[in-house]
Amino acid sequence: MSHTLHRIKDKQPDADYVVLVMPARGINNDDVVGHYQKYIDIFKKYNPVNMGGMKIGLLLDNTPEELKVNACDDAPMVHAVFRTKEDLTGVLGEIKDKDYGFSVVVSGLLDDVRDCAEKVGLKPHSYNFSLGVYGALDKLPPRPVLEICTMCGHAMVTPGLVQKLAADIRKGKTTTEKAAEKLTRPCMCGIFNTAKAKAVLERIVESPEV
Amino acid sequence: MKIEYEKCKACGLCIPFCPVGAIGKEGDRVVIDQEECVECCLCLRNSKCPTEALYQEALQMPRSIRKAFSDPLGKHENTDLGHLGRGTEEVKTNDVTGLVHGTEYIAMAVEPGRPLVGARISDVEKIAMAIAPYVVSYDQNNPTTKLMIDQKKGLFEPSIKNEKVLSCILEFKLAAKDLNSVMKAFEEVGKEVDTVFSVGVIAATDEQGNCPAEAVIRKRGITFLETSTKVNMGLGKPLFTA
Repeated sequence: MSHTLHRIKDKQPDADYVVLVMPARGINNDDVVGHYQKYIDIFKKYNPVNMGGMKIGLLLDNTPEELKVNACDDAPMVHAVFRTKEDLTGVLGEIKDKDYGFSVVVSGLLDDVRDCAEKVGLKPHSYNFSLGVYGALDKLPPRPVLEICTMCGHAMVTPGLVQKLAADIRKGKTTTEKAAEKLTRPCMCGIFNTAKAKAVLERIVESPEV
Repeated sequence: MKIEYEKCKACGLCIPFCPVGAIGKEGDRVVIDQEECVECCLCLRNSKCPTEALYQEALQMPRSIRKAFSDPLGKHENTDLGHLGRGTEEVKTNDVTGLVHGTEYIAMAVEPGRPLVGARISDVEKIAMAIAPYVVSYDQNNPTTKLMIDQKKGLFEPSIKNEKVLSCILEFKLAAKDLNSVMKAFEEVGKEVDTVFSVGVIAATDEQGNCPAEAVIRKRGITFLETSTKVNMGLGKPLFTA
Protein backbone atom coordinates (compact mmCIF):
# COMPACT_ATOMS: atom_id res chain seq x y z
CA MET A 1 0.00 0.00 0.00
CA SER A 2 0.97 3.64 -0.30
CA HIS A 3 1.80 3.85 3.36
CA THR A 4 4.30 6.73 3.13
CA LEU A 5 2.10 8.76 0.75
CA HIS A 6 -0.45 11.37 1.87
CA ARG A 7 1.66 12.62 4.82
CA ILE A 8 0.17 16.02 5.63
CA LYS A 9 2.80 18.76 5.48
CA ASP A 10 2.82 22.06 7.30
CA LYS A 11 5.60 24.32 6.13
CA GLN A 12 9.07 24.48 4.61
CA PRO A 13 11.52 23.27 5.68
CA ASP A 14 9.44 20.20 6.30
CA ALA A 15 12.20 18.06 7.80
CA ASP A 16 10.53 14.73 7.08
CA TYR A 17 11.92 12.40 4.44
CA VAL A 18 11.29 8.66 4.34
CA VAL A 19 13.57 6.35 2.38
CA LEU A 20 12.07 2.96 1.54
CA VAL A 21 14.04 0.01 0.18
CA MET A 22 12.23 -2.98 -1.28
CA PRO A 23 12.91 -6.01 -3.46
CA ALA A 24 10.48 -6.90 -6.25
CA ARG A 25 9.07 -10.25 -5.12
CA GLY A 26 9.79 -12.98 -7.61
CA ILE A 27 12.25 -10.86 -9.58
CA ASN A 28 15.19 -9.66 -7.51
CA ASN A 29 14.45 -10.88 -3.99
CA ASP A 30 17.65 -12.88 -3.56
CA ASP A 31 19.44 -12.59 -0.21
CA VAL A 32 16.83 -10.23 1.19
CA VAL A 33 18.27 -10.34 4.71
CA GLY A 34 21.82 -9.59 3.56
CA HIS A 35 20.59 -6.69 1.47
CA TYR A 36 18.50 -5.20 4.27
CA GLN A 37 21.53 -5.35 6.55
CA LYS A 38 23.66 -3.50 4.00
CA TYR A 39 21.08 -0.76 3.56
CA ILE A 40 20.72 -0.38 7.35
CA ASP A 41 24.51 0.08 7.51
CA ILE A 42 24.14 3.00 5.09
CA PHE A 43 21.10 4.52 6.83
CA LYS A 44 22.72 4.60 10.26
CA LYS A 45 25.44 7.01 9.09
CA TYR A 46 22.99 9.80 8.24
CA ASN A 47 21.25 10.56 11.55
CA PRO A 48 17.97 8.70 11.06
CA VAL A 49 15.22 9.65 13.51
CA ASN A 50 13.55 6.32 12.90
CA MET A 51 14.48 3.16 11.06
CA GLY A 52 13.28 -0.42 10.68
CA GLY A 53 10.20 -2.10 9.33
CA MET A 54 7.39 -4.52 9.91
CA LYS A 55 8.76 -7.69 11.57
CA ILE A 56 12.14 -5.93 12.06
CA GLY A 57 11.38 -3.37 14.76
CA LEU A 58 11.93 0.33 15.37
CA LEU A 59 15.04 2.35 16.07
CA LEU A 60 13.30 3.65 19.20
CA ASP A 61 13.58 0.21 20.81
CA ASN A 62 16.56 -1.28 18.94
CA THR A 63 20.10 -0.33 18.00
CA PRO A 64 20.96 -0.47 14.29
CA GLU A 65 22.87 -3.69 15.01
CA GLU A 66 19.77 -5.21 16.63
CA LEU A 67 17.68 -4.18 13.61
CA LYS A 68 20.17 -5.99 11.39
CA VAL A 69 19.80 -9.13 13.50
CA ASN A 70 16.01 -8.83 13.32
CA ALA A 71 15.99 -8.51 9.52
CA CYS A 72 14.09 -11.41 8.00
CA ASP A 73 12.99 -12.74 4.61
CA ASP A 74 9.32 -12.05 5.13
CA ALA A 75 9.80 -8.39 6.10
CA PRO A 76 8.42 -6.68 2.99
CA MET A 77 10.77 -3.68 3.12
CA VAL A 78 13.06 -1.58 5.27
CA HIS A 79 12.75 2.18 5.93
CA ALA A 80 14.59 5.09 7.48
CA VAL A 81 13.39 8.61 8.27
CA PHE A 82 15.64 11.67 7.95
CA ARG A 83 15.31 15.25 9.12
CA THR A 84 17.46 17.27 6.70
CA LYS A 85 18.03 17.55 2.97
CA GLU A 86 21.75 17.17 3.66
CA ASP A 87 21.23 13.77 5.28
CA LEU A 88 18.84 12.71 2.52
CA THR A 89 21.35 13.76 -0.13
CA GLY A 90 24.09 11.86 1.67
CA VAL A 91 22.12 8.66 1.99
CA LEU A 92 20.97 8.76 -1.64
CA GLY A 93 24.49 9.37 -2.85
CA GLU A 94 25.87 6.40 -0.94
CA ILE A 95 23.01 4.12 -2.01
CA LYS A 96 23.65 5.10 -5.61
CA ASP A 97 27.39 4.44 -5.27
CA LYS A 98 26.94 1.05 -3.56
CA ASP A 99 24.33 0.02 -6.19
CA TYR A 100 22.97 -2.99 -4.30
CA GLY A 101 20.00 -3.24 -6.67
CA PHE A 102 16.80 -3.05 -4.60
CA SER A 103 14.23 -0.38 -5.48
CA VAL A 104 14.57 2.88 -3.55
CA VAL A 105 11.67 5.26 -3.04
CA VAL A 106 11.80 8.59 -1.22
CA SER A 107 8.71 10.16 0.30
CA GLY A 108 8.77 13.90 0.99
CA LEU A 109 7.96 17.28 -0.49
CA LEU A 110 8.44 16.86 -4.22
CA ASP A 111 10.75 19.81 -4.83
CA ASP A 112 12.99 18.86 -1.90
CA VAL A 113 13.31 15.26 -3.05
CA ARG A 114 14.08 16.33 -6.60
CA ASP A 115 16.79 18.73 -5.36
CA CYS A 116 18.50 15.99 -3.39
CA ALA A 117 18.25 13.46 -6.24
CA GLU A 118 19.67 15.92 -8.74
CA LYS A 119 22.65 16.70 -6.49
CA VAL A 120 23.77 13.07 -6.63
CA GLY A 121 22.90 12.56 -10.29
CA LEU A 122 19.75 10.49 -9.86
CA LYS A 123 16.95 10.71 -12.42
CA PRO A 124 13.56 9.66 -11.00
CA HIS A 125 11.92 6.72 -12.74
CA SER A 126 8.31 7.20 -11.63
CA TYR A 127 6.15 9.09 -9.18
CA ASN A 128 3.26 8.46 -6.83
CA PHE A 129 1.50 11.82 -6.46
CA SER A 130 -1.00 12.56 -3.71
CA LEU A 131 -4.10 14.29 -5.06
CA GLY A 132 -5.70 14.87 -1.69
CA VAL A 133 -8.71 13.69 0.25
CA TYR A 134 -12.32 13.58 -1.02
CA GLY A 135 -15.65 12.81 0.56
CA ALA A 136 -16.97 13.63 4.03
CA LEU A 137 -14.11 15.89 5.08
CA ASP A 138 -16.02 17.02 8.18
CA LYS A 139 -15.12 13.62 9.68
CA LEU A 140 -11.41 14.48 9.75
CA PRO A 141 -9.61 15.66 12.90
CA PRO A 142 -7.92 19.12 13.02
CA ARG A 143 -4.98 19.61 10.66
CA PRO A 144 -2.16 19.50 13.28
CA VAL A 145 -3.54 16.17 14.52
CA LEU A 146 -3.58 14.95 10.92
CA GLU A 147 0.05 16.03 10.52
CA ILE A 148 0.96 13.55 13.24
CA CYS A 149 -1.48 10.74 12.47
CA THR A 150 -0.84 10.59 8.71
CA MET A 151 2.79 9.71 9.41
CA CYS A 152 1.45 6.17 9.87
CA GLY A 153 -0.20 5.14 6.62
CA HIS A 154 -1.85 2.17 8.33
CA ALA A 155 -3.70 4.61 10.67
CA MET A 156 -2.19 3.04 13.78
CA VAL A 157 -1.54 6.47 15.34
CA THR A 158 -4.96 7.66 16.41
CA PRO A 159 -6.41 11.16 16.89
CA GLY A 160 -7.69 10.03 20.30
CA LEU A 161 -4.19 9.17 21.47
CA VAL A 162 -2.74 12.47 20.16
CA GLN A 163 -5.45 14.44 21.94
CA LYS A 164 -5.09 12.49 25.19
CA LEU A 165 -1.32 12.97 25.22
CA ALA A 166 -1.70 16.68 24.43
CA ALA A 167 -4.05 16.96 27.42
CA ASP A 168 -1.53 15.05 29.58
CA ILE A 169 1.25 17.44 28.52
CA ARG A 170 -0.90 20.45 29.40
CA LYS A 171 -1.55 18.95 32.85
CA GLY A 172 2.17 18.26 33.35
CA LYS A 173 1.63 14.47 33.45
CA THR A 174 4.08 13.85 30.60
CA THR A 175 6.51 15.68 28.30
CA THR A 176 6.35 16.29 24.56
CA GLU A 177 9.37 14.02 24.16
CA LYS A 178 7.81 11.09 26.01
CA ALA A 179 4.49 11.66 24.25
CA ALA A 180 6.19 11.62 20.84
CA GLU A 181 7.86 8.32 21.73
CA LYS A 182 4.52 6.85 22.81
CA LEU A 183 3.03 7.88 19.46
CA THR A 184 5.93 6.24 17.58
CA ARG A 185 5.45 2.68 18.82
CA PRO A 186 2.08 1.75 17.23
CA CYS A 187 3.52 2.48 13.76
CA MET A 188 5.28 -0.82 13.17
CA CYS A 189 6.80 0.10 9.78
CA GLY A 190 9.38 2.46 11.27
CA ILE A 191 8.23 5.42 9.18
CA PHE A 192 6.91 7.60 12.01
CA ASN A 193 8.98 10.73 12.51
CA THR A 194 9.37 11.09 16.29
CA ALA A 195 11.13 14.45 16.08
CA LYS A 196 8.43 15.94 13.88
CA ALA A 197 5.73 14.58 16.20
CA LYS A 198 7.41 16.34 19.13
CA ALA A 199 7.47 19.64 17.23
CA VAL A 200 3.81 19.36 16.21
CA LEU A 201 2.78 18.38 19.75
CA GLU A 202 4.42 21.57 21.00
CA ARG A 203 2.21 23.54 18.61
CA ILE A 204 -0.89 21.57 19.61
CA VAL A 205 -0.49 22.14 23.35
CA GLU A 206 -0.20 25.89 22.71
CA SER A 207 -3.42 25.79 20.70
CA PRO A 208 -6.53 25.60 22.92
CA GLU A 209 -8.88 24.66 20.07
CA VAL A 210 -7.09 21.37 19.24
CA MET B 1 -12.36 -7.19 19.39
CA LYS B 2 -14.09 -8.32 22.55
CA ILE B 3 -13.80 -7.58 26.26
CA GLU B 4 -13.76 -10.27 28.94
CA TYR B 5 -15.87 -8.54 31.56
CA GLU B 6 -14.76 -10.78 34.45
CA LYS B 7 -11.32 -9.21 34.00
CA CYS B 8 -12.10 -5.65 32.84
CA LYS B 9 -11.63 -2.94 35.49
CA ALA B 10 -13.07 -0.23 33.19
CA CYS B 11 -9.87 1.82 33.42
CA GLY B 12 -10.38 3.07 29.84
CA LEU B 13 -6.69 2.81 28.85
CA CYS B 14 -7.77 1.17 25.57
CA ILE B 15 -10.20 3.92 24.51
CA PRO B 16 -7.76 6.41 22.87
CA PHE B 17 -6.10 3.63 20.88
CA CYS B 18 -9.16 2.94 18.75
CA PRO B 19 -8.72 4.64 15.35
CA VAL B 20 -12.46 4.66 14.60
CA GLY B 21 -13.86 5.56 18.02
CA ALA B 22 -15.52 2.17 18.51
CA ILE B 23 -14.47 1.87 22.18
CA GLY B 24 -16.22 3.99 24.77
CA LYS B 25 -17.78 4.02 28.22
CA GLU B 26 -21.39 3.21 28.96
CA GLY B 27 -21.98 3.96 32.61
CA ASP B 28 -19.18 2.23 34.49
CA ARG B 29 -18.45 -0.27 31.69
CA VAL B 30 -16.08 -0.06 28.74
CA VAL B 31 -17.85 -1.27 25.61
CA ILE B 32 -16.81 -1.98 22.02
CA ASP B 33 -19.34 -1.18 19.29
CA GLN B 34 -19.07 -4.31 17.14
CA GLU B 35 -20.64 -2.58 14.13
CA GLU B 36 -17.86 0.02 14.14
CA CYS B 37 -14.88 -2.09 15.26
CA VAL B 38 -12.57 -2.82 12.30
CA GLU B 39 -10.62 -5.60 14.08
CA CYS B 40 -7.29 -3.79 13.65
CA CYS B 41 -5.91 -5.09 17.00
CA LEU B 42 -4.39 -1.68 17.79
CA CYS B 43 -6.02 -1.63 21.25
CA LEU B 44 -4.92 -5.20 21.99
CA ARG B 45 -1.30 -4.58 20.98
CA ASN B 46 -0.72 -1.12 22.37
CA SER B 47 -2.97 -0.22 25.28
CA LYS B 48 -1.16 -2.51 27.72
CA CYS B 49 -4.45 -3.58 29.29
CA PRO B 50 -3.45 -4.22 32.93
CA THR B 51 -5.82 -7.18 33.28
CA GLU B 52 -5.51 -8.58 29.74
CA ALA B 53 -9.25 -8.26 29.29
CA LEU B 54 -9.13 -7.62 25.53
CA TYR B 55 -9.24 -10.59 23.19
CA GLN B 56 -9.97 -11.35 19.56
CA GLU B 57 -12.05 -14.35 18.55
CA ALA B 58 -11.21 -16.39 15.46
CA LEU B 59 -13.01 -14.45 12.76
CA GLN B 60 -15.09 -16.02 10.00
CA MET B 61 -16.18 -14.56 6.67
CA PRO B 62 -17.43 -11.95 6.15
CA ARG B 63 -16.14 -10.35 9.37
CA SER B 64 -12.61 -11.63 8.72
CA ILE B 65 -12.40 -9.05 5.93
CA ARG B 66 -12.18 -6.35 8.60
CA LYS B 67 -8.99 -7.78 10.09
CA ALA B 68 -7.41 -8.59 6.73
CA PHE B 69 -7.62 -4.96 5.65
CA SER B 70 -7.29 -3.15 8.97
CA ASP B 71 -4.61 -5.02 10.92
CA PRO B 72 -1.15 -4.48 9.36
CA LEU B 73 -0.36 -8.05 10.41
CA GLY B 74 -3.65 -9.45 9.09
CA LYS B 75 -3.27 -11.75 6.11
CA HIS B 76 -5.78 -11.90 3.28
CA GLU B 77 -6.66 -15.51 3.95
CA ASN B 78 -10.17 -15.01 2.52
CA THR B 79 -8.69 -14.63 -0.97
CA ASP B 80 -6.14 -16.65 -2.91
CA LEU B 81 -3.57 -13.86 -2.35
CA GLY B 82 -2.96 -14.63 1.30
CA HIS B 83 -0.46 -11.81 1.73
CA LEU B 84 -0.07 -8.93 4.18
CA GLY B 85 -1.03 -5.38 3.35
CA ARG B 86 -3.85 -3.43 1.77
CA GLY B 87 -2.29 -2.95 -1.66
CA THR B 88 0.57 -4.06 -3.88
CA GLU B 89 4.18 -3.10 -4.51
CA GLU B 90 2.85 -0.39 -6.91
CA VAL B 91 5.36 2.46 -7.39
CA LYS B 92 7.70 1.01 -4.78
CA THR B 93 9.22 -1.46 -7.23
CA ASN B 94 7.93 0.04 -10.47
CA ASP B 95 11.48 0.50 -11.77
CA VAL B 96 11.84 -3.30 -11.77
CA THR B 97 8.28 -4.52 -12.45
CA GLY B 98 7.31 -1.90 -15.04
CA LEU B 99 3.75 -2.04 -13.73
CA VAL B 100 3.30 1.52 -14.99
CA HIS B 101 5.47 2.47 -17.95
CA GLY B 102 5.22 4.85 -20.86
CA THR B 103 3.05 7.93 -20.65
CA GLU B 104 -0.15 6.78 -22.38
CA TYR B 105 -1.42 5.03 -19.26
CA ILE B 106 -1.20 5.86 -15.57
CA ALA B 107 -2.33 4.03 -12.45
CA MET B 108 -4.45 5.27 -9.58
CA ALA B 109 -4.65 4.10 -5.99
CA VAL B 110 -7.86 5.28 -4.38
CA GLU B 111 -8.12 4.47 -0.69
CA PRO B 112 -11.58 4.64 0.88
CA GLY B 113 -11.44 5.16 4.64
CA ARG B 114 -8.04 6.88 4.63
CA PRO B 115 -7.16 8.89 6.61
CA LEU B 116 -8.48 7.69 9.96
CA VAL B 117 -12.17 7.32 9.20
CA GLY B 118 -12.71 3.78 7.96
CA ALA B 119 -15.13 2.73 5.23
CA ARG B 120 -17.88 0.21 4.63
CA ILE B 121 -17.61 -1.90 1.50
CA SER B 122 -20.92 -0.37 0.34
CA ASP B 123 -19.15 2.99 0.06
CA VAL B 124 -16.16 1.38 -1.65
CA GLU B 125 -18.61 0.03 -4.21
CA LYS B 126 -20.13 3.49 -4.80
CA ILE B 127 -16.67 4.83 -5.64
CA ALA B 128 -15.84 1.84 -7.85
CA MET B 129 -19.11 2.26 -9.75
CA ALA B 130 -18.45 5.98 -10.27
CA ILE B 131 -15.04 5.36 -11.86
CA ALA B 132 -16.04 2.23 -13.81
CA PRO B 133 -16.25 4.03 -17.19
CA TYR B 134 -12.56 4.99 -16.92
CA VAL B 135 -10.97 1.82 -15.52
CA VAL B 136 -8.90 -0.05 -18.10
CA SER B 137 -7.99 -2.84 -15.66
CA TYR B 138 -7.75 -3.47 -11.94
CA ASP B 139 -4.54 -4.79 -10.39
CA GLN B 140 -5.15 -8.50 -9.93
CA ASN B 141 -2.69 -8.74 -7.02
CA ASN B 142 -4.69 -6.26 -4.97
CA PRO B 143 -6.96 -7.77 -2.28
CA THR B 144 -9.79 -5.29 -2.92
CA THR B 145 -9.91 -6.41 -6.55
CA LYS B 146 -10.34 -9.98 -5.32
CA LEU B 147 -13.53 -9.01 -3.48
CA MET B 148 -15.22 -7.66 -6.61
CA ILE B 149 -17.77 -9.80 -8.41
CA ASP B 150 -17.93 -7.56 -11.48
CA GLN B 151 -14.84 -5.45 -12.13
CA LYS B 152 -16.33 -3.75 -15.18
CA LYS B 153 -19.24 -2.40 -13.17
CA GLY B 154 -17.37 -2.03 -9.86
CA LEU B 155 -19.67 -4.41 -7.94
CA PHE B 156 -18.90 -6.30 -4.74
CA GLU B 157 -20.33 -9.46 -3.22
CA PRO B 158 -23.58 -8.41 -1.43
CA SER B 159 -22.81 -10.33 1.76
CA ILE B 160 -19.74 -8.20 2.52
CA LYS B 161 -21.17 -4.73 1.88
CA ASN B 162 -21.80 -3.91 5.53
CA GLU B 163 -18.27 -4.85 6.60
CA LYS B 164 -16.15 -1.92 7.75
CA VAL B 165 -12.41 -1.65 7.16
CA LEU B 166 -9.87 0.93 8.27
CA SER B 167 -9.08 1.39 4.58
CA CYS B 168 -8.72 -0.58 1.37
CA ILE B 169 -7.37 0.34 -2.03
CA LEU B 170 -8.93 0.45 -5.48
CA GLU B 171 -5.85 0.10 -7.66
CA PHE B 172 -6.36 0.42 -11.40
CA LYS B 173 -4.90 1.50 -14.70
CA LEU B 174 -6.49 4.18 -16.87
CA ALA B 175 -5.67 6.24 -19.94
CA ALA B 176 -3.73 9.39 -18.97
CA LYS B 177 -6.17 11.46 -21.03
CA ASP B 178 -9.01 10.43 -18.66
CA LEU B 179 -7.37 11.81 -15.51
CA ASN B 180 -9.47 14.98 -15.39
CA SER B 181 -12.69 13.06 -16.02
CA VAL B 182 -12.02 10.60 -13.25
CA MET B 183 -11.17 13.44 -10.86
CA LYS B 184 -14.59 14.96 -11.59
CA ALA B 185 -16.15 11.58 -10.83
CA PHE B 186 -14.39 11.60 -7.44
CA GLU B 187 -15.78 15.04 -6.66
CA GLU B 188 -19.32 13.86 -7.44
CA VAL B 189 -19.21 10.53 -5.62
CA GLY B 190 -17.53 12.29 -2.70
CA LYS B 191 -20.89 13.90 -1.98
CA GLU B 192 -22.60 10.50 -1.74
CA VAL B 193 -20.32 8.50 0.55
CA ASP B 194 -20.24 8.43 4.33
CA THR B 195 -16.46 8.33 4.45
CA VAL B 196 -13.34 9.97 3.05
CA PHE B 197 -11.00 8.64 0.41
CA SER B 198 -7.40 9.53 -0.46
CA VAL B 199 -6.38 9.63 -4.09
CA GLY B 200 -2.96 8.90 -5.57
CA VAL B 201 -1.65 8.79 -9.13
CA ILE B 202 1.26 6.60 -10.22
CA ALA B 203 2.98 7.79 -13.39
CA ALA B 204 6.25 7.03 -15.12
CA THR B 205 8.68 9.53 -16.60
CA ASP B 206 9.52 9.70 -20.30
CA GLU B 207 13.01 9.32 -21.78
CA GLN B 208 13.79 12.97 -21.01
CA GLY B 209 12.77 12.51 -17.38
CA ASN B 210 9.52 14.46 -17.75
CA CYS B 211 6.23 13.28 -16.29
CA PRO B 212 3.28 14.58 -18.37
CA ALA B 213 0.74 13.55 -15.71
CA GLU B 214 2.36 15.98 -13.28
CA ALA B 215 1.48 18.94 -15.49
CA VAL B 216 -2.16 17.82 -15.64
CA ILE B 217 -2.27 17.54 -11.86
CA ARG B 218 -0.65 20.95 -11.36
CA LYS B 219 -3.31 22.49 -13.63
CA ARG B 220 -5.85 21.35 -11.05
CA GLY B 221 -4.15 23.63 -8.51
CA ILE B 222 -2.26 20.91 -6.68
CA THR B 223 1.15 22.32 -5.68
CA PHE B 224 2.66 19.23 -4.00
CA LEU B 225 3.35 21.39 -0.94
CA GLU B 226 0.46 20.07 1.18
CA THR B 227 1.30 16.36 1.17
CA SER B 228 4.19 14.03 0.46
CA THR B 229 5.03 12.60 -2.96
CA LYS B 230 6.73 9.23 -3.44
CA VAL B 231 9.61 9.25 -5.88
CA ASN B 232 11.04 6.01 -7.29
CA MET B 233 14.72 6.67 -7.87
CA GLY B 234 15.24 4.08 -10.59
CA LEU B 235 17.89 2.17 -8.64
CA GLY B 236 16.30 -1.29 -8.82
CA LYS B 237 18.02 -4.02 -10.82
CA PRO B 238 17.27 -5.30 -13.37
CA LEU B 239 15.73 -2.04 -14.54
CA PHE B 240 12.51 -2.62 -16.49
CA THR B 241 12.72 -1.68 -20.14
CA ALA B 242 9.59 -1.50 -22.27
